[in-house]
Amino acid sequence: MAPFFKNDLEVLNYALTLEHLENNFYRMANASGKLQGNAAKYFAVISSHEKAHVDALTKAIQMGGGTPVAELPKYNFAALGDVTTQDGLLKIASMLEPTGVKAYDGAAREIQNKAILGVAGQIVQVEARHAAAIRALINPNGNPAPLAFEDKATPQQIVAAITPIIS
Amino acid sequence: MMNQSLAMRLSRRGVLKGSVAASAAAFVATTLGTSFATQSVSAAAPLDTDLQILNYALTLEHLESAAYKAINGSGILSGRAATYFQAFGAHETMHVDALIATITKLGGTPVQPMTYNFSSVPKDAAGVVAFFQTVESVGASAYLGAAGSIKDFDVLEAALSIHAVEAEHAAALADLVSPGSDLFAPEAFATPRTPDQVMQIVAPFFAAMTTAAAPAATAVRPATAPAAAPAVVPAAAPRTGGGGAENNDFAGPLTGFVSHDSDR
Repeated sequence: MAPFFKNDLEVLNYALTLEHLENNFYRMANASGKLQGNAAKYFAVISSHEKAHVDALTKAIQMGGGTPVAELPKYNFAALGDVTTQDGLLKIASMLEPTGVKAYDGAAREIQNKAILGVAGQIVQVEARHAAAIRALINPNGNPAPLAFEDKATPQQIVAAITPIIS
Repeated sequence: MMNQSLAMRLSRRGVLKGSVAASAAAFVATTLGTSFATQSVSAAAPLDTDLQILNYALTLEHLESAAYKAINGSGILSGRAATYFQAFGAHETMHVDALIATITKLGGTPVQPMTYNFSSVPKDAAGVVAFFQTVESVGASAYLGAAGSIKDFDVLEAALSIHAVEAEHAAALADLVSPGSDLFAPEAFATPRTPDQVMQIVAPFFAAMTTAAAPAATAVRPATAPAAAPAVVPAAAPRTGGGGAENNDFAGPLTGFVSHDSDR
């Protein structure tokens, strides 16, 4: 398959697009007042990570001479679930985190620089950890790691998946 | 339509110059400190080929698979922990099978499972879960540390597909060990480990038992640990007399929990 990205800066901006989305979601969720108990605690931890990812990717793109994509003024998370309840927010998080994992793992083969590949790996592991923790909150007696091999997704698939949120 | 628009946005804002990503890479390497590119090249015994890396991964997956089998056959765990361990143990066995298939397909010789020394595994349920939480984190860090050395993109993707699952295991077990804390994801950027670092951590599992069920095995473990920890792949070769069968001897109270390949 032909490469989707022309260079690593494009990959970084792709990642930043997703991290902005996640960062915005957790900021909104944490401010919603709808979260309690371990959900509130986990969302606070995850939010701090997404913010750190946004900051690191933004700086990396700037250092590389690129222009970091900006956070959108508004995201339509209601397209994924009920943003007014804890259950709804958990459900949305349980959709966003695996999407992030699939996105990084699907883009890995296009990353040319080993250091950037390394950082993408450092981030994707954290997204996978988020995904499992969210699943454990939603269904403590289920399997928080439902697959023996995590899926990857192409940039085209990811773009299609997040289109309802960024429309 | 929106797809195109996002793609265009990504393209346009990306500044389409070929080599400028180098300084971005320099930034991430220095700012994030633990960048695995640096660690990979500093490994004393780098894994030069994808087959070596795959056998390194298989060495760890054999170990994990055997460890889960031993615990799952022990009756120590109940409730959520038992559910998680059954599921995760099955994953590790599938990782073993997949890695063997890949190594064979690429013309290599898969390393065999060994006789493992599980005397360092705690004997109580809470201790076991906490121990495996650490083991899973080490496993994830091993894949992360090796990924940058993988040359074939298909092998890289296979490694990443396992890497994420090990991370999920670690996070799920963290929710049992310390619910509500940040143990499930203690860092914003996960730390990779080099093969040397990983093999040093797991060396106790490969240490010979002094006698079949001697509790003293723990005490002498460091002295009997394979000196070849840096030589990852050679150290993983089957031992004389190992015969390829998993014979997972716990010391002390767990001595009876032995699992064999025939369990599969």
